[in-house]
Amino acid sequence: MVCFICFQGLISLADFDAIVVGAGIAGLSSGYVMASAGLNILVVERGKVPGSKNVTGGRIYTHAIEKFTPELMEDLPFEREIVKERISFLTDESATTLEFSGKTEGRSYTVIREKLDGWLAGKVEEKGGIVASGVRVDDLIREEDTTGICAGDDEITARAVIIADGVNSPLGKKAGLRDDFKAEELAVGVKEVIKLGEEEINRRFQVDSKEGVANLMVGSPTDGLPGGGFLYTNLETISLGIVANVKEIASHGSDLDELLSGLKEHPYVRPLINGGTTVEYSAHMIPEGGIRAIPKLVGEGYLLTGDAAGFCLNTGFTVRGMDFAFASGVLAAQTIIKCSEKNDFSLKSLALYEQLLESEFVLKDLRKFEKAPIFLSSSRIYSLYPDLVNVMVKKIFDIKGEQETLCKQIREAIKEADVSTFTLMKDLWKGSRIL
Amino acid sequence: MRDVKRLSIQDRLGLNVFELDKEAHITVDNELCRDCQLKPCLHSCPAKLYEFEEEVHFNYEGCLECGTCFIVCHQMGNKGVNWSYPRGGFGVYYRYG
Repeated sequence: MVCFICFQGLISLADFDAIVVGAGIAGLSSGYVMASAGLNILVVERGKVPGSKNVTGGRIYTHAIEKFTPELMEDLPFEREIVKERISFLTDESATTLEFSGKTEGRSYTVIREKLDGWLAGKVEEKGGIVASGVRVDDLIREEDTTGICAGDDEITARAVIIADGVNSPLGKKAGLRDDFKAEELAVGVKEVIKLGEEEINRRFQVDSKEGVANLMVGSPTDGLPGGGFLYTNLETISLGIVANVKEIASHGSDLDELLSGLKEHPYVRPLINGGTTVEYSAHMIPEGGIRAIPKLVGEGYLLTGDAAGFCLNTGFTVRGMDFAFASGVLAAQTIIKCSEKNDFSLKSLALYEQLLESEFVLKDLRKFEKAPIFLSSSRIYSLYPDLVNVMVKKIFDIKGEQETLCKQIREAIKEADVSTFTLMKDLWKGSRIL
Repeated sequence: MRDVKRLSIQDRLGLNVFELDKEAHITVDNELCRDCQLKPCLHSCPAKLYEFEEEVHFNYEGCLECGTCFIVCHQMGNKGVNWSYPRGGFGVYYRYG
């Protein structure tokens, strides 16, 4: 495949202006923006169709889509808009849940990736981009001022390659931009999609058809290891899963699929999923190392985006990845558009990408929460404090005759939990500053 | 109240769609695994594809393509597991994801 492309009167021998590897959120948002600007682009995806290899928890915060490509909001295939936020502290037998219900200014929706990514890929094609599925990129090529990909015997060239191949990023490694993320910087999630039916979900979660619930759970779901459980309501299904730190899972010999079975039988969760039929089981890693784990983002002819770049932010009560992926894809696209206008794809010119990321929430937020990954690795958050919260709340509501004052009950609960008031205060203080 | 059915890992993998490839995308070098004390692959794989019976056995066909085995093997184990993505179009096909 060779064609000649005109660049402001100059002829480039590259097949495409840019090639994007990976049809996930980052890859497709970059493809869409570049194709919309009239660039000649190719998105290559190893899955049989876009989305077929991609996994989310999950919900997407849509601020980045609204800002950069508001036209996409009109008929984006969402499941339900989140109108109830729940954070639950779980022990083996009990649960204490904090719930916020009401509309927030920033919107978020549950999504099913096979639908969402397939739809986005269609939008890229509508704008004139090419999406080639079922093609695994095996290697990268770099010659003078062209970059390219090798897939089997095929070599395809471009002026730049946007690497959006996910958390494992074999191509990020081949491009020399990154190494494997460290086990302690990664979390691994498992998820069941459980079919319950639209009406039944509305009834159980007390929501309307377009509305849904996000529920993060901390404590017994991971058996006290750093991580947690999650539940999201899709239109007709529930996404229920467990996420845990990879290093901790490996060193403790815990089995994620068994933890998930345990969560399904928990008295708080069981009534929510009872009678449902599991239709899929998935697993996926999440880069949770924060800003300190971010690799090199720009190389000669390459830009690194999305999960491949480690663009995820877990603060304990919010978990974000797809909004970072979308924005990084858009900013990579804006960089390529600028390079194309200047007809300059040098490293210096591509470095605009980093400036754009710095000017947006992508690197700003990651920098603000720099210490979150370390704070969130404290084991107290996942065993001691969920226990403490439940003991405390149980005491308050447990009337057996003579009743004690709130103050005395809290003091007793702290004493029973065997945590020093100093440690508790220190964690509260640190947590409120870091998160 | 109807029960929540407890699913085994085989039940779970049986729900998924896989495009099976004859070519294995996971290989194991038991020369290296023999000296591995922790064998983190056995527990960490969410699909429980690794088993140990005198040596490490694996089944690449139910791979969920998360990459956890490679990370734990190469950083905490003895680097016996070689894992890559399956060839284009093959492997797990997530209908929900």
